[in-house]
Amino acid sequence: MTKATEPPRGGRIRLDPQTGEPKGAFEEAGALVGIHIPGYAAEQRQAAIRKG
Amino acid sequence: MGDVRSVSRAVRLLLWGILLRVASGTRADDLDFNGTIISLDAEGRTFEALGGCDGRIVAGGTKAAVAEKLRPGFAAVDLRGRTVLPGFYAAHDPFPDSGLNELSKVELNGPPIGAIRTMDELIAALKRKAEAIPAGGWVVSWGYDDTLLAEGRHPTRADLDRVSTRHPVWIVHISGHLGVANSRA
Repeated sequence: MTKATEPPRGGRIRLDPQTGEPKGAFEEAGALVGIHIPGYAAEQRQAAIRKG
Repeated sequence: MGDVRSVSRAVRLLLWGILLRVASGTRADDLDFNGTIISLDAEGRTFEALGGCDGRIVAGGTKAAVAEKLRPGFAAVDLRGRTVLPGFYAAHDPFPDSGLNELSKVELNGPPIGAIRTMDELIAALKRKAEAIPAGGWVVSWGYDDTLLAEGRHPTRADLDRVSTRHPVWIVHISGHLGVANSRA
């Protein structure tokens, strides 16, 4: 994620006003990070369903 | 010949009736009977029959009483003793996300849901998770609330870098519309 990263439509990547680099906050743009997080195994999903 | 004309006229009228009904968006009335219909109304009433008209429930009671309130030609459905309950509507419940949150994510809610009151407590909770998993593993959380933190602000990338520089950290606000990541993420 760099200052050149484009946010999704309707989303916003908060940038440091001095450096222009991302400050770490993503508004309506969590998918930019979420796609890098490993998915859940079937067993984990089943456990989650049982947990509710 | 007269009979043929009469039948032809009747068929035309029937077709016009169907056409008008389709065009007006109405549906046939329906009568569900021979069931245990639990209304869950204020009186806790249970019916054996239920009447519907244009997609809305219009009557509950005995089969005969409900039939009287429907238009002729209603469709009858024998429930054969089955139980009917009001619809359960949950359009925005993120099931089974609540279970995934509880089982795999760090709880960062403030009181009364959780116990996080300060930025230091938030960081400490995430740090405990990071220390329990190998380097490179994701530390993910849901539920932090800037309005319930003593600092009254959102965590920053720098705050989350205090959790770990070897684990990617991603925390999502209680609203679900905002998230913060550390530098590793």
